[in-house]
Amino acid sequence: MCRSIACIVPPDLLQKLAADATAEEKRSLLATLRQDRVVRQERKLAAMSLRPTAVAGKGTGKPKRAIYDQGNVASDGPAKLVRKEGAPASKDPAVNEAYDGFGATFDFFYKLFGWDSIDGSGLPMNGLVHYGADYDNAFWNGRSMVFGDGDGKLFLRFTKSIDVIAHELTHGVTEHTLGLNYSGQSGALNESVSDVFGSMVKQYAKKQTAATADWLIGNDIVGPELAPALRNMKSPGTANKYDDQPADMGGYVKTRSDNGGVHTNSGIPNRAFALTSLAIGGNSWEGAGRIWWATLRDPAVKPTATFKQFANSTVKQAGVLFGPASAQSTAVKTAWQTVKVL
Amino acid sequence: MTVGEQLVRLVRTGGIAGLTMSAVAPVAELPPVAQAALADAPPASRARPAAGVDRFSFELTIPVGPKRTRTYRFVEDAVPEGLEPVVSHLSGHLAPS
Repeated sequence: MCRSIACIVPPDLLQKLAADATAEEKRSLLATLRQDRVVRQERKLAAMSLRPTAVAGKGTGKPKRAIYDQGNVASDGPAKLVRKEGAPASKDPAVNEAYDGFGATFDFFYKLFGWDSIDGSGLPMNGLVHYGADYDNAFWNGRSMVFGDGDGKLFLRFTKSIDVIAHELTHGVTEHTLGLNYSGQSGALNESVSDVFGSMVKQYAKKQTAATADWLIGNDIVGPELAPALRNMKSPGTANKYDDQPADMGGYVKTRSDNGGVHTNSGIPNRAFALTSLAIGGNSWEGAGRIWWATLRDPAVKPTATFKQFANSTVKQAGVLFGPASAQSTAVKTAWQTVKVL
Repeated sequence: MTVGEQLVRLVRTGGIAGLTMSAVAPVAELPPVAQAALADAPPASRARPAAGVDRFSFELTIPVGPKRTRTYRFVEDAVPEGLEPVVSHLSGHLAPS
């Protein structure tokens, strides 16, 4: 019996075979036919997730951006509107970097995965720049993406890195898809998904393949004390002298700090994505990126997902998208085995 | 710092970088407004979760007697009332740890 979800025997032939088969053969063929229907439906749904028209939202497929200047005050509410959608460039580089970074991230999600903005339905993208005084951070507050100017030593202006902008916007996408809890392994997956899509947005904008990408996160925003980058997805733990990310489950950090080490243990799924992309070759968004996106859309993955549950979904999605015996499926399984999750 | 000195310690974790930063200072070297805040420190209460992700989290440990300390855990937009001068002073001295 053909158990492959990319089974080459068409359903009409299976039905004809069943007509002339013995009772035992009929049961087997009918089971195959049922499985085939499930698989074809899964593949249809997976293919739909890659089409721009697949999202049944209210969006128009056009970005709606608004950038606010916080005037170096640490306030989460939008302050002074300095650039809205379609307005000419500002004299302030932080304003333009946020505006352009949102545009590049919007294009990435919409053109490649049919996902319209943060929520799939055209939610406006608000950016708050010049947050706080010498503020060393960027974050997603559930409504806006917020960027500090950095202190000039550890960090520079946080809008300088397109992957950092995409990282924050992807937190919003995750909130509206899997809704991964921000604690422990699900929290580390939440962080990793932001790095994964942040890195892909950078690679897409720079026209880099998996092989030519640097796989660094935030290399444009680190100051001299933290150079060369915040994180290294290909080699976790090597991005800077303070980097303590583990490269596999052998180094998994159990801690109460940082919501259970969400920015530390994210190195493990980050590396699984980089290894998958490198093994598949070509552009990361055409192979591993499609698999990870399909996982973000998998209703079987719960907000409390563990690394293993997430990994199992990527393996399932690779099989649905490319076939279980494909090079892509082998790549994703091998990557999770290398980081000792599977 | 000398042996037996009473110390305050602030540890910051989280942020997009996930970098742990800390600062320690003798109580005697704090600005008067921060020393006054310590003298009137509130009891520790349960921290509320941060609004959003990639936010900073803090742990502030202060002396409350010759051999006793109290630790406050809070997110950046929920500094315990009255302790702002202490947190503000130590935040200016944070270094990677």
